[in-house]
Amino acid sequence: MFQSYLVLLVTSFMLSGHPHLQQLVALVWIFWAVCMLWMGCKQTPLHEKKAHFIWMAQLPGMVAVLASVISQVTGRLGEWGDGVLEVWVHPFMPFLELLPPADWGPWSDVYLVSCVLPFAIALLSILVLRVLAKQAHSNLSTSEVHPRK
Amino acid sequence: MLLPLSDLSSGIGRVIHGIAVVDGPLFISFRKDDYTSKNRTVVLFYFFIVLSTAGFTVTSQLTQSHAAFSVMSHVFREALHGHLNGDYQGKPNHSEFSILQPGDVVLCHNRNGGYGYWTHAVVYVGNDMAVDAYNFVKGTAVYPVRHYLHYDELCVLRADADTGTRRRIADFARASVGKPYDPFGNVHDIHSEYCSKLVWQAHLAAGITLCPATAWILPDDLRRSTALQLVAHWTS
Repeated sequence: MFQSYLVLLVTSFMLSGHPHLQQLVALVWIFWAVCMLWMGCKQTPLHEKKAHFIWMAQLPGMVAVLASVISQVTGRLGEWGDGVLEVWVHPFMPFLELLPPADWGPWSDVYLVSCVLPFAIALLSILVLRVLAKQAHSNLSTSEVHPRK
Repeated sequence: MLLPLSDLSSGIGRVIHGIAVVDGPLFISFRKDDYTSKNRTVVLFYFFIVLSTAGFTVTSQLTQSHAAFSVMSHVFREALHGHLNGDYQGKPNHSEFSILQPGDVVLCHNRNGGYGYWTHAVVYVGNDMAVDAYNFVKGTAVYPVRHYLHYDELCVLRADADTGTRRRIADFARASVGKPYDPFGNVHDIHSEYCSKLVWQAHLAAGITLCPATAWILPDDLRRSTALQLVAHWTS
């Protein structure tokens, strides 16, 4: 998941200035990620603990969010957290830009959603993997109960 | 929106290039005992990507994209240090904001900026306020103009146009408040702004083309524009 997200990042920056292509690439990545998770569930036995580590693919984004929030609250750490976070969520900026302009105190809605995004992607990855793993398990159980003659 | 064919092919080439650059090591690291018929298809797919990337890469590097990549690498280098606006030396400049009129462009300079001599650009909208698009946290926002005392140098540029036209510039800037900050956005995309893009779009909306629509509009491009007259220049 981490490597595929890096691919998404690189291609997204390559497509800077072409928001529709960026949106397409982001959607393709989502589809690709779900497919890869599904193929992974089918090919290898399920290990519950794998689902617990899949969130680490978004760890750089989570660290950037933490650094950014700390710098906003305490005034320390400079602006690098903001910069890294902005880079990390760049593939989804064409979608974030469609949000209506709004402020929550000193923070824009795009910034707040960007802070949530790495955590939301990690959580969704875990949920999707669990659902697909259960599906793969039930398919395997069905084939064991009704073996082919 | 239909893309010009050159832009579409350049975009597709960039997608393929990006995939190949990052997934090239995957192609190399395939183990022999995994060489099933499915993996053979994947290997051939990656081989095609790497081979076809060469032609697209050469083409894109020879085009205007090269200038954009050069600026982008500059920007990334400065961003990793936590600043794009350069290093403020600590001494306020000696600005006289009373001369400002709605629609004026204020360019700001700090040393060690990421992309040229002038490191920031804002639009003065009247009532001692300026519209500014430089902060990912706040997005495009309104700031008191005295905020710009804390730059080493300022200069004021004014469009060679009537008051009504310059008011339209200010109106566009005011209407852009709330848009997100995206320094990588397309110069024609009105859903996001960055500092010099806001200035460029505001003037375009008033019928003034400050400079050609390149991949990135920089504050230095605005300073070089023949459509803007230098009104004042203040240092610290």
